[in-house]
Amino acid sequence: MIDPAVARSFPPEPRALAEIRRFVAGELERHSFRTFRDDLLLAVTEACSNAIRHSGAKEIRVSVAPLGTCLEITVADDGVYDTRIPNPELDGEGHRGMHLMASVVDTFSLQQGTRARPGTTVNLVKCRSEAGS
Amino acid sequence: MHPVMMSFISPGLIPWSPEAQTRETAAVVGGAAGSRDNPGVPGETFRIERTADRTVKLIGELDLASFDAAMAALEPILADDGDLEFELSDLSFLDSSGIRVLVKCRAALDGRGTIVLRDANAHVTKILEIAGLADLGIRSEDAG
Repeated sequence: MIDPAVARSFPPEPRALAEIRRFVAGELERHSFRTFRDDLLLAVTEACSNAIRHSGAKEIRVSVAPLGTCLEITVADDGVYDTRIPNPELDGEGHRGMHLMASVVDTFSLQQGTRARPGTTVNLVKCRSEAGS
Repeated sequence: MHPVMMSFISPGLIPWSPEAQTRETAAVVGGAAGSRDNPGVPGETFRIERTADRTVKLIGELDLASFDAAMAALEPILADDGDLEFELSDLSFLDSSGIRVLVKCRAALDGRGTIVLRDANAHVTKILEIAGLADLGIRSEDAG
């Protein structure tokens, strides 16, 4: 069975975060990927929060796609990733999002939008465990 | 539940009454949310109840959207000395913005009291551990 990826656009506003989580949770349900649901909802929230806070994007596009026994969530915006990757120990109370996001997924990648080439994409992949469901 | 319940009313904030919460829900999620109600997904809003003099209950989802309201509600409590207890049994979601709330509270108390977190669910507990809050002197305790 082929399950096509579903993508949806959201406004880059904090109040969209709850709806983004509902969208992702619905897709996880559709793909029967309930294992690690909470981890993925956290990761997608952190990725989207970064886009909202730092990128100056006009919209955030979130897609959820099965990838074999794994699930990939992509968060893409049309903004500029103009902050260095923060270090929680140096930056104090803030900037923990990247650390949390990376901690709860199996694979995490970031393509940074620049001023010359806007558009930041974060890929988050989580795979089923042997006994996963 | 402890009978003492107070609303924290700050300029620009909607009081946390059930009625206000309903309005806030509508304002936050817009028209699409009701029809996409998924029983597997926790509620989409956040509120705080002060259940005792130095105890606050965090309810719902604490993220970037609820950060400002949370800090505004906690500010008057942080002005007074004493340990502060967070009851987390009804906190369904916490991210780095929520961690930031707790760390800011600890900094605001600045030795005038400690912060204790109680009854967090399994995933919130996991996030608190990854964030290393225990290393910052923020204790977590299960139901006694």
